[in-house]
Amino acid sequence: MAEETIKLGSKKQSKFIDKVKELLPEGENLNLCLTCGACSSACPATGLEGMDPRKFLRMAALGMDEEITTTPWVWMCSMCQRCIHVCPMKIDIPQLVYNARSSWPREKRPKGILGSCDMALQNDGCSAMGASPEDFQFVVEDVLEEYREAQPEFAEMEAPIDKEGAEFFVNQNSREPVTEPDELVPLWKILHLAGADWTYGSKGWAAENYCMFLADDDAWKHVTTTAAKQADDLGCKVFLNTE
Amino acid sequence: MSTEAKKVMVIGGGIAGLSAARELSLNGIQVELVEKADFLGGHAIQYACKATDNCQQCGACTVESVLKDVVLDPGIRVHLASEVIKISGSPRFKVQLGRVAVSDNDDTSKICQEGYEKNPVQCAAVKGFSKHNAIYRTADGRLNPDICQTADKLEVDAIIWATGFVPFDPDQKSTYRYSELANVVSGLDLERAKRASGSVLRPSDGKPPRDIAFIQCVGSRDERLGHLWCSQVCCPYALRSAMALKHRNPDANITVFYMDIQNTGNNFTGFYQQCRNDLNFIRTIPIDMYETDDDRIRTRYMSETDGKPVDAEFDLVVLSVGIMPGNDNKALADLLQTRLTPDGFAASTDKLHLTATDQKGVFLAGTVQGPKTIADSIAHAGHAAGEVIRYLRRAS
Repeated sequence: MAEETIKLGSKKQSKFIDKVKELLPEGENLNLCLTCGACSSACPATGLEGMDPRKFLRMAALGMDEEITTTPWVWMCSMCQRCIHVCPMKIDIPQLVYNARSSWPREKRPKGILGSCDMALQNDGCSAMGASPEDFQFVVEDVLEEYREAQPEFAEMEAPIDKEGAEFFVNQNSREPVTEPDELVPLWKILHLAGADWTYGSKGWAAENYCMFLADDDAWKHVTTTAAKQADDLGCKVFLNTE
Repeated sequence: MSTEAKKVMVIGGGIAGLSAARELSLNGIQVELVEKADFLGGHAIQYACKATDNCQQCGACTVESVLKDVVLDPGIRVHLASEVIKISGSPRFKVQLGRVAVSDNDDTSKICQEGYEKNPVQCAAVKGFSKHNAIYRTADGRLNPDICQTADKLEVDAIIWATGFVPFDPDQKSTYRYSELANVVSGLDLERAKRASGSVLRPSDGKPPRDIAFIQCVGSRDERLGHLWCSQVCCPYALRSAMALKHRNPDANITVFYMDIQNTGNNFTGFYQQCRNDLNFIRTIPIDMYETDDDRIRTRYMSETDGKPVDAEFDLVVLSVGIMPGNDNKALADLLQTRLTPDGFAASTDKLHLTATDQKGVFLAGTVQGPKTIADSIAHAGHAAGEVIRYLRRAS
């Protein structure tokens, strides 16, 4: 028997799939694909841009790096993870998609996601709609006062911001305070009736994280740690991510 | 040395246990056949013949004939609704049997309410799946303990462990909604229904289905479930069933969803070519099952030709469930003081001695050792019987 494994040469060395494999906790399971197509049956984005999860993984395995890193299909994946859920071999296809996204030049990534991430980096609110902690506080207080008066059964209802020692740290999608403030109230009512001791944070109040969908690791980390640090600084026990 | 005075216990009365028992008896060895259910034949006796104009060599009929031979063989004592609860001593094993409660309250017992003698064939087909099992029952259809529960202590010189498998429970693949949707059935359900009624009908309305889907590898080759093995039988049984259906009803439109085809066995290549002509093969496993307003099953898969998602509707969806290790394997391995493979099947000593175990005098037969077809189970059982005979000769 030969002492060293014989390695067959190939014209093109794949870098992309190897890079992703290094990042995966279980290492090399990207090679375990049985090509059964369960992922493609389950994926909402199957067929868009002539792509589907099975094909995407096959192309990566075959070293078709250029196609993998340029198809706009990766931006149509909603990261719902159904493909992993139905995969008999538990292959982490979304991780592959995520890394394909991050290989795009930042300025070429989809404008909507890019703009929303950049907006979140403008101030400590980390809101994709750019609403600052002060804006958020103003809307919450205004709406709360209105409902306490209009609905006497909720006269005692609270919507605290930066309440130290609250049990639950609750975050909030920006869409409600910015465009549909009345929609903030149902959650407050539930928390009130449940007797929950909760608070919003001023810093990192926004729940959405477009920087994650943009595959911008540093910005994603910034948004997440801003909120997490605020929850820690307030001494909250549980982080309730409403997104 | 003579083996005439020797006695062997066979645990499990499925096709492997029956074959081993018969082979031993033909060689002059007394057999104690212990079966947990209240009938002989195991899973294999529940399968229907899959012949078209020609025999498809599914093996279902051989089960019937081996069963008949065993039933009529005075050298084989049968213990039904019985299980091994204790084994001590070696090389002469002292065995204690316990009785297993058998429910007579299930729906199938209604068919036998009018009395077994009035309707022996259909009654046996439901309660025992074969008229040859009728011998173990009284006129009113109850198990007759005077015939099949005559001892609770045995002394034997060797043991064949042949307790078979359990079919995969399709509810573990939740998106198929097996328990919820009447017209999503397992391969075993299809066989049982065919055996009882002689044809394939939709569970929801009793009408013959026209558009039928088979989904392969349900529960097999699945790391998530810890079942990495190929069950080996599902491709042959699904394709033979599909071809038999197509033969009876040429208008039937049959689709086979698969990842790859386990193409082994005599003539299977030629048979597969024929299947390719008559059936619609799609190399994608569908996931979601929905019920339509007109009582069909809608599913979605990716078309191989244009890469687009396709919604397809079927009258009946058959899940080709695989072979799983028996639920009692761990307990039996402890009783027999031998071991299981990491997958949960009974472990043979090595790949060249597939019937031998680590325990002297204990041998394996059939699917308890791993997935096998009917033909392979019979061959394995014959091999085990041969090994037992050699062992007994050496020992005496």
